[in-house]
Amino acid sequence: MSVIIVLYEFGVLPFLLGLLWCRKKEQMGFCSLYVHGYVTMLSVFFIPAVILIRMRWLLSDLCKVWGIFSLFVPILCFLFIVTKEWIYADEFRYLAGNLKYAFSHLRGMLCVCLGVILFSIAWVMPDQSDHVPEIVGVSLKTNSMYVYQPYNMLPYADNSEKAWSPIDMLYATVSSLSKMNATVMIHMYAAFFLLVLYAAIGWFLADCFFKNQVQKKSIFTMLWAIFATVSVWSRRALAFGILQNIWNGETFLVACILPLVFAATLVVGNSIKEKDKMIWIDAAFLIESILCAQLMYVKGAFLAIFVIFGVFAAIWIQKGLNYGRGVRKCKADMGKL
Amino acid sequence: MAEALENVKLIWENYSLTTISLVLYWLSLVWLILYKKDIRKSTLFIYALLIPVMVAVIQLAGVLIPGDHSPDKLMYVFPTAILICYVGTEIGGGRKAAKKTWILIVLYAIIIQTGMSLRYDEKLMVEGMNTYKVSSPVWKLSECIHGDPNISEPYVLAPDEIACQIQEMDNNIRTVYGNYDYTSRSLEELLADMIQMDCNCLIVRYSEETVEYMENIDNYRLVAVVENEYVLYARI
Repeated sequence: MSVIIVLYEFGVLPFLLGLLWCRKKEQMGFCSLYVHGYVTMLSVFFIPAVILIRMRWLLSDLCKVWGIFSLFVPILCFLFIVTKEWIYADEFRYLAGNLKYAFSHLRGMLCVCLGVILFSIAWVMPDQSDHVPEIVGVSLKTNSMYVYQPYNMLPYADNSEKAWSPIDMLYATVSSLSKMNATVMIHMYAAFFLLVLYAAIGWFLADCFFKNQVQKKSIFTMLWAIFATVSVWSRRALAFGILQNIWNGETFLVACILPLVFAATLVVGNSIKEKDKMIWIDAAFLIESILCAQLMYVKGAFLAIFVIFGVFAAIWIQKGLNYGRGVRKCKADMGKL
Repeated sequence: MAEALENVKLIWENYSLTTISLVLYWLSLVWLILYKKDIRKSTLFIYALLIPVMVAVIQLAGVLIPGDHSPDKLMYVFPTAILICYVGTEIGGGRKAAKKTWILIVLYAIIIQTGMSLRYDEKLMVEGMNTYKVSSPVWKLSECIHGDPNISEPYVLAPDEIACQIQEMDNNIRTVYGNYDYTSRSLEELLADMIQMDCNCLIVRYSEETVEYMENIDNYRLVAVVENEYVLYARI
């Protein structure tokens, strides 16, 4: 039963939440559902977690809230699918076709990604500087949230900083609901699903650069997965510890959420350019990504906004350069005339 | 101001010399400029150039204003990864890929040249000992502490590599970890710190001298020698 609950929380729940984002057939892809679902799940968790931690409630209270939410999601999804049945019959056929295509034409990419993930789960030891299992263990033992320090279990002098990035409490909640050992859950199950998310974000990014070029998208995703292995064999790598400790908030933020914010901002930029009426959906996803970033790291929201600002600055510069080129060309044409 | 700029320069030098990803990042930029003239108009290329500038500004602000300088590490990871993967895809996925194989060869040569930063540490790539993913001595030490009926509410003073993992095995074991430099202290100092911090267990690295020394000290009981690597003592 423990395994089923963990699989549901980290594997099924994101898919169900991802379904709620679908507004057209093209979005019914494995990666799109998974990525959208995860971002929604994490951002939804952020709000009650911060409120309850600030109010100094117990971990069991957060478990109750999250348990109710986890049960409520399938009902919501069912209602959503029933009300849009005429669309979803087609949508699910499209999803099945997508998966069939991936298994028949993208085996190389799937093998590389799965190989990297399994290598991480089986052989890579977690980094010594990662404290997540200890924090979760102490929270479970004392039924509290960021009240006691890991290792020595002395009370925190000030936990206000921790309360703003409570990713550890998600693991504590799932561990408490499933009654599974926190260390095993984090090191094995959470690591697997989060590394799948990392690979899915690679595909999501590739979709921004190589739309409709499946081969290039698969190469990009393969390289994205291989890039993560640098942290294992390089003494000092920028991709710090993706395979060692993806569950750690800081690593998760850098490996998954910030690239996702980058991609989501590009999507919003395109929607603005194309004057898409459904831009609010892309904008809502971007806002969710910011909440997600804050869940991971104390300065997560600041860093996410920094990324958004950078992308928009790049878009404006690009626009200016294109405009300048256009003006110069016009002048040259006028001169010829 | 000159000192601040010097500091920023140092951060970047240190960062670039020891990081393969950054070498590949600069190479990717050069490749884009040389071979993909149309990409120079794209958002990705402008962003890739813009981010180092923004990071430099933050670094400068971090040097001028005392505090946390984390963005220098955080902000560079994903644009680097994205750009390297993009260029890799363009090289490997294009129709004329075979003609550009030499670029890949040069890249690999550079990676090998940066061998000073390569590592193959067995501790990082060891076989998974168990589902907990903790090292074998930690597993055994935890069992020893747990199995000893005379040790109640264990509070352990241990080397960092043990202290940082042992609580993952058993939540009831408290350890001294963080803001405590175990390695620089002698055995006498460790024993004094134990009393001061009210620890009831001591884990030390195994050596015959250590065992002999501890035999002559009262109030300490040898509980177990683990893999001829660590010795566990309980304070009576």
